[in-house]
Amino acid sequence: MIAFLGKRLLVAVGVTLVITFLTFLLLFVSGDPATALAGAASRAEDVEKIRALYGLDRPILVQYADWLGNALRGDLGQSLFFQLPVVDLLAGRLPVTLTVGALAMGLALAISVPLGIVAAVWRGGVIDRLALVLAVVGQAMPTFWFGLILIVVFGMMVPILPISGADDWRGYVLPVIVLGYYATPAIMRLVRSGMIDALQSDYIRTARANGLLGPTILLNHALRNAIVPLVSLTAVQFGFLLSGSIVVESVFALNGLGRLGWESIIRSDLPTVQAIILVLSGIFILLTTCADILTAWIDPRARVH
Amino acid sequence: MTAAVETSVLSVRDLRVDVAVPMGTLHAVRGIDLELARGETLCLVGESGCGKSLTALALMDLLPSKATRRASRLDFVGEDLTRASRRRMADLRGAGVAMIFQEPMTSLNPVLTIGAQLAAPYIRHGKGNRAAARDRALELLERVGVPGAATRLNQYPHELSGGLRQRVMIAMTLMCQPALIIADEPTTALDVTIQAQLLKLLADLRRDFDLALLLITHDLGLVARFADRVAVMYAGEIVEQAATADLFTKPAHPYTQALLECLPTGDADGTLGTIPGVVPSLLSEPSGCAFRDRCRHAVDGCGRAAIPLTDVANGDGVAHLNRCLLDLSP
Amino acid sequence: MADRVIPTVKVDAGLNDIAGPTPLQLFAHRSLRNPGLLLGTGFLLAIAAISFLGPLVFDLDPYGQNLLKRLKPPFWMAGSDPAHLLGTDHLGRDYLSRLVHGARISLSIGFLVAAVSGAIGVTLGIVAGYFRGSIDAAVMFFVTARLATPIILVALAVVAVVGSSLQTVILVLGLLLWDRYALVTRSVTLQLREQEFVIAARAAGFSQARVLLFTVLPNIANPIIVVATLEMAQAILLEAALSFLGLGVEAPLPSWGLMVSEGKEYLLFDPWVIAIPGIALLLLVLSINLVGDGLRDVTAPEGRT
Repeated sequence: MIAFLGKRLLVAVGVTLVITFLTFLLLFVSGDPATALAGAASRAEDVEKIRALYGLDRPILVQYADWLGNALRGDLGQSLFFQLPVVDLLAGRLPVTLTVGALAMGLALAISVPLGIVAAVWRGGVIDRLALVLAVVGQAMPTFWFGLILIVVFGMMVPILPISGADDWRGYVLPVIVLGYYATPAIMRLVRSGMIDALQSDYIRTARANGLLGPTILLNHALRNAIVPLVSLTAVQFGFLLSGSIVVESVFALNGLGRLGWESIIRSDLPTVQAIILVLSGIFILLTTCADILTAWIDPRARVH
Repeated sequence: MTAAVETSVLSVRDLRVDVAVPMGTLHAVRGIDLELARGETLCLVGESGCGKSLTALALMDLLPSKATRRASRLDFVGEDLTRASRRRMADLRGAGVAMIFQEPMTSLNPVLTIGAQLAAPYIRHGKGNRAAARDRALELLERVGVPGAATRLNQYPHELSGGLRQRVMIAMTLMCQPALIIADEPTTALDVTIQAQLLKLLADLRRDFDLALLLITHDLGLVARFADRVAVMYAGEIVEQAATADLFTKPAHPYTQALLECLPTGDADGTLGTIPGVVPSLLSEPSGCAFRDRCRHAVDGCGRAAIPLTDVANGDGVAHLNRCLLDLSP
Repeated sequence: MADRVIPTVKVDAGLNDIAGPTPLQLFAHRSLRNPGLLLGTGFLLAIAAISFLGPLVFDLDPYGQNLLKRLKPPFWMAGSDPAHLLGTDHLGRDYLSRLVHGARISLSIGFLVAAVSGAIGVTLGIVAGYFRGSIDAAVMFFVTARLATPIILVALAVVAVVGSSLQTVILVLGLLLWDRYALVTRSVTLQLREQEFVIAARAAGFSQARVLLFTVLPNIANPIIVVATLEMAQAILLEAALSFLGLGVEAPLPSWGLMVSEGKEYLLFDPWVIAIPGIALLLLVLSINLVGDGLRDVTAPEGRT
């Protein structure tokens, strides 16, 4: 277990380094932050002064090491646009994104797990077909468009929910629905196919041969097996959901991390973009690592590896 | 055998199983009669597809949804199971009648501990609480020869070998002291040396627990020798049934004879026999003898009408039933 | 004591005298019984035909502006203009022409991204699965890194750096969407390399490259095609999202995502402006997914649903 954790940790650190270095490289070539800082109308010698001041004239590896060292101390630099520490900026935005993400994930699980179980138990029945339609449409639905349609419906036809901003809890309802539906199809399909496999297995036949009853078999014996792969899928989907929040936050004008990222890209606010990419991939790595540990906990076979 | 009437565990008349397939209805089991008393082992032998496993599942009421069961009589310890509700059948499974399956590698739940799986039927059938279930599981694991039983309780199936898992399955069937154990190819997936050990164990347990044991196998050699009586199945019906020694020394049905010729005898020159031809399709019921196309003794009469099981014993006690027109006794 | 089991005899429930169908016949038979596949294929072919043949037959001008005819509604609404069946956008451009040309953009992006990412992912997957060991570990590391990358944010950042254009979007998405190809190819190759005909090819002394290209690759074509459809759908949705956020293809190209983006200012009073391209997007992605799901069911019926 210790070796397993150590290996996972090593991969996590490596992945974080690769991603941050690549984004650093990308943003480094993307243009001249010194010019952006100084303003378009500034004189060449001012730009040079700024370049030297911020250390932008040093080799890229040195600058990356510098950035990394600061990041490890919790300093992600200054936002070029807001003239604020990026950490403070992110701290204000991250809760919004995490709240929407967590609620959406909760909604997706609340819909897809029972639906997947029912669809598997009554395979080919009405609910199975409805679930299939829901999944197929959900996988084809552009999230930004679904968001706009909800705005039309709840802004025009039944104006009961706010269509932008998040001043109170009601502002979260529509974004959570959009993101939740986005995450539902994959989870629903996995639960369904996992339950179908489990219900056809020899160990379920053993359980029935022992006289165990339907609910016990379904929940204690079949679902325990079907949710093993669900754990890691949920982690991956949650990561995708956070990175997809950029679209939903801009549709519903939520002041979250995604919208900040989009605005920062447009404003060439490189330290902020870099930090958001770091935070989002960091959360993803954290989630999948936790999922691996959780999987090892619920699936005894995984502990060997 | 007057005593058999009082201790009868299983009494089956005209058991039939039909399976719905894309091309129609498969008459997979076509009128089987079985009698089994306490302390007795009956071995049901036949090649794959002859309907022996479906017979077992039909007795357990565990048939797949595409299969349907009919029987004119299905008595279990004096109770008429043809009228039993699904709930009553579930109450009996694991408590009155238990089953051991062929695949020890997949028949145990991979995410539950051995202890939890052993306890499940015990608790389900109201035999006692969790602590009592644990004691019982420990006792039975030791009885079936699982070394280090106490630690095994907390282990998962993948930590055990195939032979040990099958011992766990055997212990599981004993948890609620059933009257009948159905073992469907219990040793097929295991090494030959372990096969013999497990069959010996089953024979001992049958004696100690006074069980009726229905042993299902395609192995007329090793496995059938552990039985008191052997019933040979072909194409969904029993073609011959006799005391074990009788069947091996005086096989009456040409199919049984052919099967025995397929066993290596140990003679230096011995060429191994094979049975030419294929099993008939059971989409329609064969008229007359189902084996006649492959039988070297077949005559015109074989295909004319259904052939009944008749007693060919010479009156020395146990019946020797044979489903053949001809007298082919060696 | 050498006990023998009874020789097993093949039971073939009445199929003995019917010659087995060829793989192609089987494929055709299963395809015709898969309504999703038929529907998806039909719809996809129809969209492709209209988008590539339509401009040859009809006079479709997606760029011509007419500020006197702005936001004319489609034919089923009051005040429609018979010259513009699906109405006009905020610059008076013919919506039907833009929709038809938009289909070309979406389809081209789908195909090209699926091809670029397929080339990357299949190569990585086949190499990882065939050589295993440290090569496999390295590939899996990159897959993990790719999965942890917040894809929309990075794509937006790259487009912002390089400048928005069709080629940029195709290249960026192609470089980002190879993970599923790699994973699927790797797992199929891992299974395949243990099979007799691959071992035989290796034992016969063929070079590694030859074995990979002529023995392994043809046998993993089916799952790769299925992944290709999924990635096509994914690429089309992502391009639409990027264009919606203003960092995809450049205006005035009639990308469906861009059309939704341009229409969103008018959505409360003229919701059809976003409804039409959104529905087109939904239907296109839906039919591609139906084809993908159908192909998987048909080529690997034992596989999970």
